[in-house]
Amino acid sequence: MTIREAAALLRARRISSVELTRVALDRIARCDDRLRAFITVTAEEALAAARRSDRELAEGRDRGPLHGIPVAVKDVFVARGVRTTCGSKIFADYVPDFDAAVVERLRAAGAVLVGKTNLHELAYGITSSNPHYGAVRNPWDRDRVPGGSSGGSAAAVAAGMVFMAMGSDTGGSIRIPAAWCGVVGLKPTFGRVSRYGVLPLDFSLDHMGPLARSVHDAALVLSAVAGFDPRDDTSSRYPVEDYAPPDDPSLDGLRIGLPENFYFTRVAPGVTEAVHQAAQLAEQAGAVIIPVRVPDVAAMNQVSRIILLAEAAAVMQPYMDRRGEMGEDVRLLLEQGLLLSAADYLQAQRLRRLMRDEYRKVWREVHCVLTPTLPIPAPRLGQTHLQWEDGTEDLRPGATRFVRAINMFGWPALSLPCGLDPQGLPLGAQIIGPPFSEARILRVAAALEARLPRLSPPEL
Amino acid sequence: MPDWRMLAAARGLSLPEDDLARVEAVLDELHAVLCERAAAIPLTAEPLISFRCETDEDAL
Repeated sequence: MTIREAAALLRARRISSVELTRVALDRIARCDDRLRAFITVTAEEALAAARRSDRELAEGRDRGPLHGIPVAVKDVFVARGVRTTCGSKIFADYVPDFDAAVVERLRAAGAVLVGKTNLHELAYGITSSNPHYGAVRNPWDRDRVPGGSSGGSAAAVAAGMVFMAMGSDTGGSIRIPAAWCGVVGLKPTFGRVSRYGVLPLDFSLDHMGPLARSVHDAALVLSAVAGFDPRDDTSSRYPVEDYAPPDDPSLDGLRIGLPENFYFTRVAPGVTEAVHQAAQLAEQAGAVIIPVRVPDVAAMNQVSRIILLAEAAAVMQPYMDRRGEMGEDVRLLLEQGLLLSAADYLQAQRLRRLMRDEYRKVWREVHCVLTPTLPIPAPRLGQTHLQWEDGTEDLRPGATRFVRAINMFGWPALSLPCGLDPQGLPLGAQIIGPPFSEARILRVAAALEARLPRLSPPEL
Repeated sequence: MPDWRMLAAARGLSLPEDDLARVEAVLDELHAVLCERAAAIPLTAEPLISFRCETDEDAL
C-alpha cells in the first residue's frame, strides 16, 4: 500500500491512523530482528500521535496527505526526547531537546513518527553494516547489504514497516539503498530541504530526502518538507512547487539525455538493458532520447572524495580522541581527511566550480539525464571488492561511481526501481536534473513507473 | 607526493602500520588526480565555497 492509497482509506473512515500505526509497529516487532532496520522504535509516542491524528480527522481538521501516516527518519535527524545516535557509539546517549526542521515539518503535516532507522556509522559508508547497532540486511536477500548510508530507511520501506523514511545523501546515501532495496529515493537540490537539526557528515554535500514506495509518495513528502528555513545558512528561498505528478504523465516535449560514455562501462549483467528499456519507455511516453557525452565524471568523483574527506574530518575532529570506538572503515576515512592540507581542500573547491561549469553544459541540450543508479545489484555482506573482466575495484568507490559527483554540484537526482537483474535483485535507474527541477524529475519518474512492473521483495 | 607518515606523526596521529599503509594508498591516488587537475586551474578561478556577507541589522 502507498501513502496515497492509505490516505484515501483514512478519509473514507475505512481504516484509522491507530490501525495503520499498529500494523507498522507489529511488522517492526515481527521482522526487525532479521533486518535491523531500526535503532529506536517510539511505539508509545507513535500511538499517541496516531490517536491525535484520528481525533483531528474526525473533527474535520485535515493536515494533508501525510496525516496519520506512519513514517520513520534516519537516526541523524534529531527528534525531541528521542535519542539520536548517528549510528555511532559516541552519540549513543544523546537525547536532543528539539526537533530537526524535517521532523517539525513531518509532524506539522500530521505524519506519525514510529522510530529512527539504522545506518552506516556516522552516515559515512555504503553498506550499513553498523558495528554498534547491527548490520542492516537487505529484505530481498538477507545475505546482502541494503546499501547505505540510509540502509535502515530503505530496508524499512521495502519490507513494508513504514510508508516512507527520510534519509540523507552525501555521496549517494539515499539513492544507493533505494536502488539496492527496490524503492524510490529522492535527493533534492542542495538547499531545498533544511539541514537544521541533522547531525552532519559534511557541510557542503549533505542533502535530505525521502525513500518511499512510489514516485507519487516521494513527491508528497517533498512537498511537506521542502522550503526555506532561516536556521540553515544554505537553505534556499526558491519557491516550493506542487511536486505531485499526475498519474501516467505525458513526457511530450521533454528531451532526456542518455550518456554515451562513463555510465555504461563496468556494469553488471542486466544494468544496461534495464536502463535502456527505461529510456524506451520514456520515448513511449512522449520524450525524445538524446545521446549525450558527459565530462570526466571519474575525476569529479575523486575531487568530491577529497572535499568529503576534509569536511567530514573537520566535523568529527573533536571526537577523534574516541576513534577507538569507531568502526575501522570510518576511522580510516577520518584519518585520511585529517592528513589533507588546506591547499588540497581549496584546490578541490576550485575544481568543483570548474567541473560544475563543464557538466552543466549538458543542461543546454537536455532537460534531464537518465543513467543507472549503480553499476551492480546489492553486494553480499562482507564483500569488499568488485570483480570485472579487466580488473578489480574497491567496493565503495566502485559502487558510488554514478552517484557521488552529483552531490558536489547540489543537483537533484532520483533513483527509480527499473527491474531485476538475472539473480532477481532490484536495479535502479537514476534521473538527474538541473537545480530545482524536482517536479520535472518526478514527472519523468512517474511516467516510467506507470510502465514498469511494481517490485516487491519476497515475504520475510 | 606528500609524506603521509610524516604528516600523521606531525599531527599527533599515532596510526598503526596497517592503517598507515591503507591511508597512504588512498591519499596517493587522490592526490595524484588533484595535482594533475589543479595544474590546469586558471589563476582567477575561485573556490566554490558559499559565504554570504549580509547586512548586519544590529550594527550601530
